[in-house]
Amino acid sequence: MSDRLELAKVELVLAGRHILEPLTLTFEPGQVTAVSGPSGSGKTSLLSIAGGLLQPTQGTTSYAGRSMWQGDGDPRPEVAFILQVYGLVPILSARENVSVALRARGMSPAAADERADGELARFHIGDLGDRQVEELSGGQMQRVACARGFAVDADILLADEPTSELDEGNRAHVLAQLHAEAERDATVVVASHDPAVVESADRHLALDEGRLVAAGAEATLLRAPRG
Amino acid sequence: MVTLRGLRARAGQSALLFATGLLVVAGCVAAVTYQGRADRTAEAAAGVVVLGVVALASEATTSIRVRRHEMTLAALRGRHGLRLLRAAAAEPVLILLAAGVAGTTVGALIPRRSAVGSGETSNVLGVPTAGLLTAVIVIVVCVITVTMVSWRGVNEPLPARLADPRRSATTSPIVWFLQLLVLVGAAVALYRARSLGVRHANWVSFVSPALLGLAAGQLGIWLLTVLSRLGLRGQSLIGGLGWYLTLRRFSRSTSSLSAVRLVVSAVVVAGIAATAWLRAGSWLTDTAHINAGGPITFAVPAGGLQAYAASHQVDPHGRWLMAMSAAPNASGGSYRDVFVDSARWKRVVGAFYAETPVAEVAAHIQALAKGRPVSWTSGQQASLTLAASSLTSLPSPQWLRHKRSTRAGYGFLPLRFSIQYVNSAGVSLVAQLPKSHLRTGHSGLVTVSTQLPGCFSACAVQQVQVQGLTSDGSLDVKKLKFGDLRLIPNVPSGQEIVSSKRMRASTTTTGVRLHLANPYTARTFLAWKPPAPSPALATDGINLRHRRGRPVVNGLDGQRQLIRTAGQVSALPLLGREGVLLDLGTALRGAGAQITQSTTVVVARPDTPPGVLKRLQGSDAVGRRLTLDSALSKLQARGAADVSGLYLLLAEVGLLIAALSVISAIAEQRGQRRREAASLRVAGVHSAAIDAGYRGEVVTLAALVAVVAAAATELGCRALLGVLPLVQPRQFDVSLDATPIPALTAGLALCAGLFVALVTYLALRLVSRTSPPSTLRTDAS
Repeated sequence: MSDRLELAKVELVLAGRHILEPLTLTFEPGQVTAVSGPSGSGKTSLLSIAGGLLQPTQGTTSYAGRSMWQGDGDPRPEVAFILQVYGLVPILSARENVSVALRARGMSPAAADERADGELARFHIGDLGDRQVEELSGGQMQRVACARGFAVDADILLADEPTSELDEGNRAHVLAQLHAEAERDATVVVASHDPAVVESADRHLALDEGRLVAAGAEATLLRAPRG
Repeated sequence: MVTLRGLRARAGQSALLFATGLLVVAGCVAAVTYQGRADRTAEAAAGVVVLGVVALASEATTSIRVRRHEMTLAALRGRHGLRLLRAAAAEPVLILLAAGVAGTTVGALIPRRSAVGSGETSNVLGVPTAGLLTAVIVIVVCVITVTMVSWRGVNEPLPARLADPRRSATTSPIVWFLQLLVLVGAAVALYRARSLGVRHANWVSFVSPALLGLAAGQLGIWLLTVLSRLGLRGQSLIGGLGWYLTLRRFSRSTSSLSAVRLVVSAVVVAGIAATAWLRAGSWLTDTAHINAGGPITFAVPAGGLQAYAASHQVDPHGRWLMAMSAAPNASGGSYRDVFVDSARWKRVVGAFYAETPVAEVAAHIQALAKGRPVSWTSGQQASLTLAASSLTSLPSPQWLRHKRSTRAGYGFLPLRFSIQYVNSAGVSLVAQLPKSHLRTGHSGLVTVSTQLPGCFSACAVQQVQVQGLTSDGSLDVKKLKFGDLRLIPNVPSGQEIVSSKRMRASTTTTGVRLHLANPYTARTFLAWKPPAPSPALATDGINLRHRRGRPVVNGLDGQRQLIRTAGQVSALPLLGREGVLLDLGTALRGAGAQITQSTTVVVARPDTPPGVLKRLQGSDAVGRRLTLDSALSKLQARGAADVSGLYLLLAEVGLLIAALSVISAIAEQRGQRRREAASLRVAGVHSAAIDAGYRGEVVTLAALVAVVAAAATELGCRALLGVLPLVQPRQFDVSLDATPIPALTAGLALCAGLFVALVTYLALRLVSRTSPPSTLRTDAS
């Protein structure tokens, strides 16, 4: 798992508005990259393009030599998302929301359920497995979303504000888990307002109005020429 | 506050609410108005009112729900209490009121159009008070529902309103209570409707189909939920993710099944109403066939003999015409009988009674014409030829003076033949031969004759009696003619035709020799009688009088006639469900004057040549022409099945409500389905798997609706058709067939299932492909 996630001159224009200015970025496996910036700065758009949910207006995104954009807006199997809006399925329980991602990747129902229970327990919500997600609080739903994202052992983990609804203890736990993912050589990108997330990251990118305005010391930053 | 922007933003939702409101109010008003025309109460509209109120309240509540966030925003901006309530309820209430006005107008036009089509006058065409009242009730109930739902939302704590709408994993007690209430209500309504019966049917009877449908739909939902949960236990066996998602949805989400209750209820109402309409229509047609008697009929006021004679005279080969005469006596049983020229039945009646209760007659009709039919004549003179040697001497002076005979004085009693007959006017008369005394001294043969009054078209002889003295107690009758009929039987010489102590008669080579033992008493020389017993067809369950243990009926002349039942049938022409059918030709043999209450017709085949009809109409016996259409018009004029049109209207309204409910329910779910599909796709579930789940859902929903609707409609028809006042039969009209029509029930249920499948499929087929995970990002922004 040594392939890199590469964004080459990606630009996003929606309804005539520049959401993202042209950017060229590389995300290394084994690293946790934090993307920060004010609301509307383009963090979520950057993650969506990086994960293949959105097709950039210009430029390409690739991983292991293959384009992340598959043509239909679905993420590649090696990508896992933790969405800001959780993206949980209302008709499924907490356990089923996790196990469905595993079953979609070919795991048997029983094994998927067992693994899902383990992932929920990993985020201290093992006792909520049978609850429907609409019965859960915002923090509990966020942890279910995290459990789903972590459960699939993805090569690329893209997390959008994964700690926004969490208390300090759970936030620290989630950050630790993010680093644990990086330690198994996954590429981890986290968009967050949370200074704690930025501080704990291996690399930091700051966005403002779609432009990359700052980068951490360890970051490999290539500022794309305007276009 | 109602804004155009708001209405435009929720155009689909607003249009559905308006359409549902318009349909429900129009249906209710039309039903009540129709009832007014049928001279019935407004109760028959109760079923569609219940269905409509449930549909409309559901739609209005959805309208409130989709504005939840808007109302929360208004609360954050400082609106509270009544101001917030007004803001929440104003839009749906305004739409409901507009729909109410439009629906009342449309509802009033529907019966107007049908009335114009049927040529009815306009004095009953306005919207009756009951129609307006029904529209007001429907709208008021819905406005109250909207206000209550809005009030509940307005009084929710703000944090709860700000949060996403929560749904409990378990059904709340109030929902359980309402669901059980529907079941109990349906059971009570069914029981009560059956207890009331058809004569005392009230709004409970009419509301039963809707409640039964709602209850059946609820049971169907519970059944599917249980089956889905059982299915999930063996999820390793159920295949891919698609079915897994379908079963999980059915086991947990009630929103995807919410339309089932209403659709099943609407199909049950429509199914029962459509069956009622068809059954009432069939009853009307059957009754018209029975009352008409045949494809074309001509009334014959003078009775059965004239009808019989006219049909035989104009159509001697029996290809086109057949006589029929009935005594539709209200006393029932043996007093009701109908006589048909049975030998002509198959050729003349043909398929006229096919698929009516009278159709069974054809299978037995050949068994009736077993005796000799009546002989009739249009000659106007009777004649008698005797051997002169049989005559006596002059009468005594005493007899001539007093013109009477006495046993004591051995007075002279002249020879006299009395011919009893029925003339062309249907009156029984006696002609006597000779009119004056025949003197002795004649040689050879003596012929006397007399006029037969009233025999201008057809007369039939009943009997010939003889009385009086002869020279040696015997008499040689050479010839006896009644018009052109020779009354002396044409049998070989030496055969006795009468043998009793008082009189014997035997044939000779030239006539009949009579031996009169007692000349003072009139003795029957010749008599024409129907077979005894006469073969007859009796209706099922008829209560016949008996004489010496044998069944009897009143003959054409009101005299008792022994019968032998040759077959049982459901109904008879001209009589309906009670009576006895005999052969006319044999029954006329020897019959006296026909009873006055009889209905006599000549039946003509529909393809009878105009020349034949013209000749028939040219005969004096035949009166006005009647057809099946005129019989049908007569029934309609008496309002015998006016209510059947109402049932068709109810069926149409029920089906339209069902269609709108399905569309509304699926439209309400579209947003949620898109988010759900996007969530599944971001978790890695492929669109194909999601589509497979939708296909499973489409098939399951269609099957559920079809099966439950078919079962509930079948049950509803069996339980309720017999207790709904569909027609207004008279005493002996055939009974309404109150059994379900399996093809109709299955067809409606299948169509409902297919419609649900089609709408659901069309609504969901592109959902997964057009809901990429990035839409969740859009939602977030």
